[in-house]
Amino acid sequence: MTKLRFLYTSWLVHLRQISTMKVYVFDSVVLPLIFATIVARLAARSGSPATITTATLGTAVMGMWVTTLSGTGGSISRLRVMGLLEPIVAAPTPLSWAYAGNALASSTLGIYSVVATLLWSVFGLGLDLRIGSPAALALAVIVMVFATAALGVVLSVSLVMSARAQSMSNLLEYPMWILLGAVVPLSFLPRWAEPLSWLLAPSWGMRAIQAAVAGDVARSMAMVSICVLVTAAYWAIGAMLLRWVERLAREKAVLALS
Amino acid sequence: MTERIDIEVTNLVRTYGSGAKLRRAVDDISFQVRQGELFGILGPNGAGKTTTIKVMLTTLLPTSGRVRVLGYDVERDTKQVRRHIGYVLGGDKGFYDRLSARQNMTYFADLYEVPSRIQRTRIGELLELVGLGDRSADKVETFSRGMKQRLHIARSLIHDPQVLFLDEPTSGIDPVGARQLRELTGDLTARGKTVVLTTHDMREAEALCERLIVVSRGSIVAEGKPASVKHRAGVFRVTEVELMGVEPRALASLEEIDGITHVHVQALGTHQVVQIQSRADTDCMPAVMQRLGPVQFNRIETREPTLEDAYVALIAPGVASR
Repeated sequence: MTKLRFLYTSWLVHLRQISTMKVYVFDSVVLPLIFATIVARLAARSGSPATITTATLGTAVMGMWVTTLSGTGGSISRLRVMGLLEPIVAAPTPLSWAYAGNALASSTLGIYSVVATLLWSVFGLGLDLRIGSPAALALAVIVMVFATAALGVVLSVSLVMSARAQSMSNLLEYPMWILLGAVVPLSFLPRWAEPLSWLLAPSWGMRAIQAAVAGDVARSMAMVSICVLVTAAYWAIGAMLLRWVERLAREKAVLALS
Repeated sequence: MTERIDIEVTNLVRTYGSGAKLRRAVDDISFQVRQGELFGILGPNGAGKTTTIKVMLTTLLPTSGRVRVLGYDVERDTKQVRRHIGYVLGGDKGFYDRLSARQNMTYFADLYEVPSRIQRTRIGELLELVGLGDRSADKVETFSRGMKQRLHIARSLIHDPQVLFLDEPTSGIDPVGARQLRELTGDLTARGKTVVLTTHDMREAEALCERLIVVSRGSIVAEGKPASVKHRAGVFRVTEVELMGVEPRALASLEEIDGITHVHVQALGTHQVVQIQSRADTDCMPAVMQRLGPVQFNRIETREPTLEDAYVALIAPGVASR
């Protein structure tokens, strides 16, 4: 219970902190609209409402990933600069819970990305979006929040050890867009890339979103289930790796800024 | 009844780097801190004080040696150690600066698993205690360095720790705030809390610490009560006597008194000013009075050696002799 309470407090604190940062607000507010405009214009040439809708939602997921990645990777740099990484490690609550709150806060802002992208596409760009099952889509988006947050936590493991965490996290932004199937369908990728996407929890979330848009509720639920399983595995692996990395960081003395 | 040992550091070594760049920040130090004791770690920058503290805080692993806090090993029982210790590492960082003081306190209270019913009263009490009660809703980024330092202190007490580590706690605090902090530190030890203090302020260390160690280049160069550290450092008490009509032979005999190390006489017209340097642990004045006989004393002033004198003598003997 105390852990869940901390998770809530941590989520709230990070949400308040990052929502006051101009750079972060640009990433989560403006960037998704730019993505949506570009991708929607490209997809509009197909004339297929399903393609347009799927592509538009793909850009929404791209926005969610950007906010999660910059939120999680960037937050480690920020925690170091603010002198908070060391105090958090020195507390009895495991580091993974603090990161979980952080990553969830970033992904929560990612929900804005989804909503803003849809509203902009319909009212700003005049696109005809058709969603087969809005309820299945809402569930898929919520699961997607946890999946991207979990991926953020797993990736953050490497970032604890480096004071250049932010630049390292930026490197991961574009490959993930492609492997998640957010920009182009996974079937367009080379065969060797597909197994890689299976390992990514958000790619199952993306499949669930695509199925919900197509109105295939049964498939969407199946994809959601797989996404939940892979996400749970991510959380477990992330917690384990963070324990190992924390010990390594204490050995190498890299928790403080200097 | 045997005294409980709250901190036990045995042959602690901590190195940084490797190969040709290997540096021994802490080089085989051992000490113990008893329950309810205020223990000082003194030393110049880079002496290994903060490294030693961080090992005890569990944010650094020892390279070798053993450190136990409240009987828990810092390497093996990390979580137990963390539950029972608090710390102030000082500086103006260590908070979510865009959040209020109260929001920061709530975050750390949850991080330290403090039940919410206790949080409701304790957060307000601690903010009042450090003089931030009326600023609790203000963002930390609007605070001065001294206010942030006081918030650090409130934060360090949020989970009512048994052992408290204070690294330069009065750095950046105004004199009134510093005095309040010293009083608070005294209150904590009176309540049975164990406090480990590092400071550059020798008057503060002398006033607060029951025992201390002086660390230089990773090693302990003196330890014990402040008085015994002064003795170990070989610093002297200086007594200045202004008098009239004393015979030169009587003055010369002063150096024969046990405990007196040096006598310097200066003639000022009809007066003589005699500077007598003696060991800090010996009161030589009765013997001096007896040797000088019935002369007229205009003035007698004694300057006791300070911990700062001892510190300088231990850390930089060249400076002490100047």
